[in-house]
Amino acid sequence: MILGTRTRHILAREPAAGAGVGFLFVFAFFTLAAPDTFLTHASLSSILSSQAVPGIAAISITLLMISGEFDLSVGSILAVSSLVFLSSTVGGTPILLAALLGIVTGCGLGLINGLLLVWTRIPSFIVTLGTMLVFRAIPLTAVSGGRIVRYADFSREDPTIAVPGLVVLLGVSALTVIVLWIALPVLRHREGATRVSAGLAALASLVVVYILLRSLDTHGLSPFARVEFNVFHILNGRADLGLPGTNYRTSIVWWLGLTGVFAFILLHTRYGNAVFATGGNSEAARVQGIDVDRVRIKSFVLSGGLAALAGIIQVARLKSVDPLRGQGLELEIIASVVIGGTLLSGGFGSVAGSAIGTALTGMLRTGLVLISVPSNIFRGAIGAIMIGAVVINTYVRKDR
Amino acid sequence: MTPLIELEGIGQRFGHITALSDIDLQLHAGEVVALLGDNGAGKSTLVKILSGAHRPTSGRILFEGRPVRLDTPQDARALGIETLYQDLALIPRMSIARNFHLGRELTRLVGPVRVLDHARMSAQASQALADIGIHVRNTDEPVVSLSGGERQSIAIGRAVHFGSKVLILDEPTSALSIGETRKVLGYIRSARENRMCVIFITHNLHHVFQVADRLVVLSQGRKVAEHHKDEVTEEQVADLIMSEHQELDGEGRHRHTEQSRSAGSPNKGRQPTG
Ligand SMILES: Nc1ncnc2c1ncn2[C@@H]1O[C@H](COP(=O)(O)OP(=O)(O)OP(=O)(O)O)[C@@H](O)[C@H]1O
Ligand SMILES: [Mg+2]
Repeated sequence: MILGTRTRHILAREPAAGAGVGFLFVFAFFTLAAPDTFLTHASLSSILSSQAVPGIAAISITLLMISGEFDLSVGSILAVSSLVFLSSTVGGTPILLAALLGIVTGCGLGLINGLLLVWTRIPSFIVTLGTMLVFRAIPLTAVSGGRIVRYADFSREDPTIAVPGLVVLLGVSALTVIVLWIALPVLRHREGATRVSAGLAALASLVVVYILLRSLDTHGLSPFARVEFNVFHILNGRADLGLPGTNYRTSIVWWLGLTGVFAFILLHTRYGNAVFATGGNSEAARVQGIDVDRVRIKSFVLSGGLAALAGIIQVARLKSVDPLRGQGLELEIIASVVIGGTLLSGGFGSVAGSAIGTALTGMLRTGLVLISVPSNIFRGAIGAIMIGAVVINTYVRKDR
Repeated sequence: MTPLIELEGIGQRFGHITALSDIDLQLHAGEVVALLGDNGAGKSTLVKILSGAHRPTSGRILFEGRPVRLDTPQDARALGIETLYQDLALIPRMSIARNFHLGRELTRLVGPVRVLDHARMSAQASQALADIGIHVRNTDEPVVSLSGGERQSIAIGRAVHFGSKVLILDEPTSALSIGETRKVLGYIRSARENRMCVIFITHNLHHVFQVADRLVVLSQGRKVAEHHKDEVTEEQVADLIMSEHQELDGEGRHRHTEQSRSAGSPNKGRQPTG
């Protein structure tokens, strides 16, 4: 297999490139193999919706893998945080506070991983193999008899929050301003673009406000009336796109949004730079003035928070937690991340690649069912593709 | 005149290996000090203490007459001490520009957040490297795609650019061509003219006599000689480095554990090469 040096160069520089190519191949394969069933909204929506939660957890694994660490405990952190979230909701804690508690739990468990790593200097593979088992014991003992905690046992209605329409309006427009203000100049990669983009961002937010006001108006609401939001729906509800028989969920937006945010953090902030440096050559990073232990701890905390968020978003759909939730998730996610071009040895990778890798994994699972391959083959196929991806990436990057 | 840096009784142990013991040394602004010694003599260990990469297990350090703690590389940087490490301390898969600014990235405010200023870092890196005669094709290229000599040049350029009071160069010319080596000796001279203190480690005595004012010889973790350049000849220095090793070989054992010496013994007979 000979590629032009230029193509090879681009592939070597961009971690997600290989995954992108692989994705297209698998996509083309299933489109040809199952023309009537694969390329439909029904199957695409089910692929994306089912991969949103692993996709968010994959961001957390990617972050750590780039920093040169390994996290086998994501699945367990996800389970504990989901349990904290759901049981405090069921216990009467306001829903947002319960979500916050869940995320704080995830961050706290991540902090434990990070501190253990830095204090003991044991490889993170071992540390998190240990905490994977320890953290898993928490839901197993807390929920007596391995029972499943269900939201439905507590209330028939989904939890809601009521917010004055005006606040929503301001919130949404502020968010629009901030996102665009940051995104535009970064996308353009130019110096003087800041002021222009601030203007554009303000303009865009005015448009958003206008649209929101119009839609309030058509529903006969005043901006001061309180608007009720179904929290489960916002986190992971069925999106009504007017396509019957499809299952596009709001979690897809969370997945893509978080991928964007973390891609930005990794590529454009000092912390992100320090993550790459620590994973690339931690001793060099240390002597060049980077506090590598702090970077490691911070990454584990962020990673725990992300795992918790993935868990909460999952609860919003399943409306239950069982103590074995997320078990076995870690290996499949690690495979997706590696397919996405992130190096197991650290210092190289991208969250965009992981998103593609996760989507590819999902596509494979659904596609194999559609072409009537026994579902047990799925794991084998993932493994084969992962090895193939690593071989190709290694060839492209000319390193052993 | 107070020395810029004074080391008093500096010792460094790694477990039961004694890498340095009882080093006293004075370094002045505007002088070039060559640090010499056989492989494993403790040269790199000594400069790593000065750059905050190692914490000495004994002794103290005075900077401009005041006792200082160089607990982290950041502490040393804050005092204007900049180091070219023997292993270069580059991140292979990172771009030249990112490596150049590692640990002191340039940022700008975009909206409410502080982001890396890639454009300014690239421009500043290629400008700074060009200023000292290093021309790179593209500062966005990863270091891993450069040749050994090119990498060394980048690392030297970084140290020269950021160093303000003390410049430590641990074997800066080991991978360089004759032309690049001349340039490096040139930076060392101009750093001296700018009243910096330069600590220069090399195995090439010829270079030492070209640029150094003083030379300090380490052997098995001890300072065994310290001379002004004019007091000794190249042969004498070579003998100092070598003979110390042979003379001490018998009685010097007790300073190290048997284990560490036997690990270090292949050094015996290996000559400092030019
Ligand atoms: N981090 C460490 N842990 C244990 N021993 C070390 C460490 N660093 C250095 N040493 C030991 O200290 C001694 C001095 O090493 P050092 O690197 O300072 O030698 P050097 O004079 O720079 O040699 P060279 O000319 O080969 O670079 C060696 O015996 C080495 O094995
Ligand atoms: Mg050395």
